[in-house]
Amino acid sequence: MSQYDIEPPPAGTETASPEQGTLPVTPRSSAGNAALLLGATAGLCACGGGGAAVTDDDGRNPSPAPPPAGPPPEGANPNPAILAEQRDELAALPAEENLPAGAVPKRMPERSAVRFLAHASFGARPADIEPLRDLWRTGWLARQFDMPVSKSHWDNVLRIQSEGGLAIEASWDASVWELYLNSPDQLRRRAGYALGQIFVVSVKSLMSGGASRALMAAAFADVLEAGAFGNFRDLLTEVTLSPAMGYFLSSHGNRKAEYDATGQPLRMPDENYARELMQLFTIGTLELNPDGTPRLVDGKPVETYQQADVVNLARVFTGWSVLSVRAGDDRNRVPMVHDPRNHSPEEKKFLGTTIAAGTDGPTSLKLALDAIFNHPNVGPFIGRQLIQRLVTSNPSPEYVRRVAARFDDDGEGVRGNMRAVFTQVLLDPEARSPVPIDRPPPSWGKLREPVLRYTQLLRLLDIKSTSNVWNIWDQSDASERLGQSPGRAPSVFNFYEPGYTPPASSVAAAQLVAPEFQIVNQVSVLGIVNCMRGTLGTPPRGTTYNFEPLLALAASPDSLVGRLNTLLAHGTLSPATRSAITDAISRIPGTPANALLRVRTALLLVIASPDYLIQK
Amino acid sequence: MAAHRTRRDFLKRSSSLTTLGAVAPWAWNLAAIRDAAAQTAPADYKALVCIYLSGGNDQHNTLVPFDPGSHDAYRRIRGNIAIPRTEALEAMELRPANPWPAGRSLALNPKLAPLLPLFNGGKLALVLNVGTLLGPMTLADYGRRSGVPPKLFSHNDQTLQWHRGPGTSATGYGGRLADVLQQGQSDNSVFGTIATTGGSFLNGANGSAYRIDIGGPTVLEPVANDAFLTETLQRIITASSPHLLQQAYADETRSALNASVRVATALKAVPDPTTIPATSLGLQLRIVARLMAARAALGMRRQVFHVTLHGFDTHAGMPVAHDALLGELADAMAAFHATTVSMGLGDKVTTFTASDFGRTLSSNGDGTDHGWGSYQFVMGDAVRGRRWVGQVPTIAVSGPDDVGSGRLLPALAVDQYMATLATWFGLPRSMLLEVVPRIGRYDQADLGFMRA
Repeated sequence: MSQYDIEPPPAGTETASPEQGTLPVTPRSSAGNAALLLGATAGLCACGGGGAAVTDDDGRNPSPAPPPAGPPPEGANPNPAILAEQRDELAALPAEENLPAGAVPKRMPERSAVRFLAHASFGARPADIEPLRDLWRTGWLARQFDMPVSKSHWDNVLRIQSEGGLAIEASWDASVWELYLNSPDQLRRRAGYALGQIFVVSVKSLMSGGASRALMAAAFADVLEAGAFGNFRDLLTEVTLSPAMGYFLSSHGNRKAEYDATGQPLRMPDENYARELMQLFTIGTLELNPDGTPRLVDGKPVETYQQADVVNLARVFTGWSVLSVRAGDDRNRVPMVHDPRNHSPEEKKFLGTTIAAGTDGPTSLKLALDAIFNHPNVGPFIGRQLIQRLVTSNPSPEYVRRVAARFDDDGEGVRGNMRAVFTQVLLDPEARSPVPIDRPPPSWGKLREPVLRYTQLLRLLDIKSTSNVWNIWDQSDASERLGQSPGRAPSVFNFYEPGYTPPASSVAAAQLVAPEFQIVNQVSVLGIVNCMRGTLGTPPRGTTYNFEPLLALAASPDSLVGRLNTLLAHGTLSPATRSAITDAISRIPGTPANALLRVRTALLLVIASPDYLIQK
Repeated sequence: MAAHRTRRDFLKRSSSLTTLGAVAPWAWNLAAIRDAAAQTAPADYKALVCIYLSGGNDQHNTLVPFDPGSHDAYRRIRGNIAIPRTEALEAMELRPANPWPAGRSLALNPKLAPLLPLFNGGKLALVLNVGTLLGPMTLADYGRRSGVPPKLFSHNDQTLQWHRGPGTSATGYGGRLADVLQQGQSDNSVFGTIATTGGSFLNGANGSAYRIDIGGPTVLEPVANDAFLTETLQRIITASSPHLLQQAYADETRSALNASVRVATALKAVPDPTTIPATSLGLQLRIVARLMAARAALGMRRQVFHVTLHGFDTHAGMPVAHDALLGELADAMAAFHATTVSMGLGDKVTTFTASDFGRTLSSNGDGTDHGWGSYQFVMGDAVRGRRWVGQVPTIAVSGPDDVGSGRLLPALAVDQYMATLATWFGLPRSMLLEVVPRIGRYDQADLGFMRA
């Protein structure tokens, strides 16, 4: 370990107090570091523009990093993006760390790595941390972006249905949990999971036949993951024509209007997909400023569309159907096909766009999706939600604006480049700044959703397969399980909405949102603790945990809790929480026979603590 | 504001009764059960039960146009998804005490047959063409976009307006009712708002509903059967923090811990009313009935419940899906009413339906789309049953009540519907504005479907 290889402070020397968030910046141990600290802090915004993939505050024109005064700092990486990351870390150095003046940490601090993996993966596996520390975020992202899909959901569900003899809906659950927990291409999985909380389908509502439903959900997850780093415009087409969405929002079999002799309608197109495509998948109900705040005219918000827009857009989505049952399994993944006889010949006029009467179905679809894709709301609407899914519930308008600007133009004139969007979400100064690790502003961060708590815990325990089926099923029961499960939202509105505020709460009083709190209630808060307790006691059938690295620390409650503080909470447990947990573990006699009990109890207490639950 | 301050003071004064410090108020209400003088059964009791039909219930296949002219028009417009005029439908024709408009009549969907005896027995009333409004409105107003409620036809936005009323209030009708009625009550009068599913109907100024699972309260399991470890867990998960999100989570956990064991204890003596079917809605109404039966042990004189039946967004597969939902609704409602009667609470409990919106009269060939005005049921022995209020709309596309594709311009406001229920529940006229701030915009603050 090099001199600059920064570790969290040892137990008992933590400088954060229960008044975290209101404390001034921790004083440094040397004048040189103090000066550097101020420079780095002040530079957070300016330096944020330094990375090749990161725009400046203006949001539109990437500008090079301001040239550092004098020679590059000792240990600095010539890659300007990594240098910016290194400078950020200075701001969070523990007080007792002594760096030579002008030096930056050479490797990414462990807790920063754990924190980044909470944003960009399903949680840090022990083996993931060291490579990331060398690569920094920038290098790790480059690797992940270029990593091919390790295994498709489709293939995995088929395998489970045949090898596992599990030709039922639950093959979806077994497959998705396995891939989220066990894939090397974590960023793609996590990005697909985030997109799937915007483009929502729910496996239970797809069609009759459990095995087909599972395959259809798998094909849809594959569409989102395959397209996660491509262009949003392509994603729109693939989502629109996917059999899963065709069933979920009933555009499968949607037909043109029919009128009687007097012009009275006998049948109208189904408006379901047209409405939710605009309301939930692309532009939302209110016109937005580029920073995601509602655009006000005379002090009032402006609705993006009216019922007439929905009625007209519904005509676009007529004529499409899922393949017939004769196609076998393929009907669950082959895009819907068009039958011109069922397509509306009427004019389609919406969002200021007019598609002439008589335009054919595929052309109408292309023109309509183009028009929606080019609506100025898409960048801030989608960008803000991706920030909420990965990083924080209440991003600053500037953060949203920088992400939206990346959506509008990836730096090479391309609109909708999702690789650029995810890069900005994850590398934005507001996301990567390690300052909040010890001194989180009192509202920054997000509630770790139950699915991610579960995956993080199991990945920390290095969950491995002992059979060809991971027996992890639907976890959406709140009283006994997680209260959330991938691909099992109760409706197209997901488990929670981006604008949700828990009523009469500290969050409401501050006029903030906390989407994940929509599934927090007196049932779920206790149900998930019981579920985690059971999960720690018994691995899901077909899997095994590795407690060894933690068992080695069981003799020292202080070390054990300190380690879990880093590996699970990236150092954000308060001194009071740490000492309460350490005291409790110390009460369990330190015999070898009790080592596992100590570890399990410490894990339970950490993952149940609000300090951990709110990811900062 | 004065009302809220009064209640906060009251809660603050009383919160020392609990073991774990300050808690969210509804949970406090539950936690106060033991301490706050629950030794005697409350002198009087009333309960409201909101059955939320999530997704937007199709009104025309719920109460089917029955007079020949209207049924012909309905069949012509809806085609294959219309309920045919069979003998089964003829048996469901409703003959209300207040006559239908000349030449018009409605029949219950045959799947709602269990509700027919309730209607004929005067225990069920119909509220026709009710919807979200900012004030009385005409078709001409709609054409001018004058006074149109925001975000019509959107599920989540219209659900919020049904739960909360127009405007930007974060509180719901039921929560405000609780806020007002709780205020000024003596210490041993306890008000409970309880939900089995999400929604903001019961959000009050100081808290939301107590949430309960159909199986009863979730209770924290002990850690390693060790009291100290378990107590440590409880302390950690309820720890206060300057971080706002942490504090909100800890508050919810604290309220759950405070209530769970006591509610579980109160429910232990109450058997499951197995005559209510074991369906999604039925199981929710079973726990509601048990909480009513436990009212003395819970020390509650007023309860408002919110339960949800999902699946009403019938864009596709409507004939089969909607029939099944209506069957589940009617079976559960009728059995629940019988249960309340057997508990001696027939005239103390009023059950009513609500939904995101009604649906289009037009068909898309396999279902219907998002509409506006809708039909609702009110059930109980205190209901002026076998009656209808509101408007029997013309069955026509581009008719006098249509804002497009047979979306009904509401004749009654949700505000009026809720004001009527709140008045029955004991809300003084003088306090009505605190629960339904815009009620003054309507001629009728009481629609007259409840007995005084």
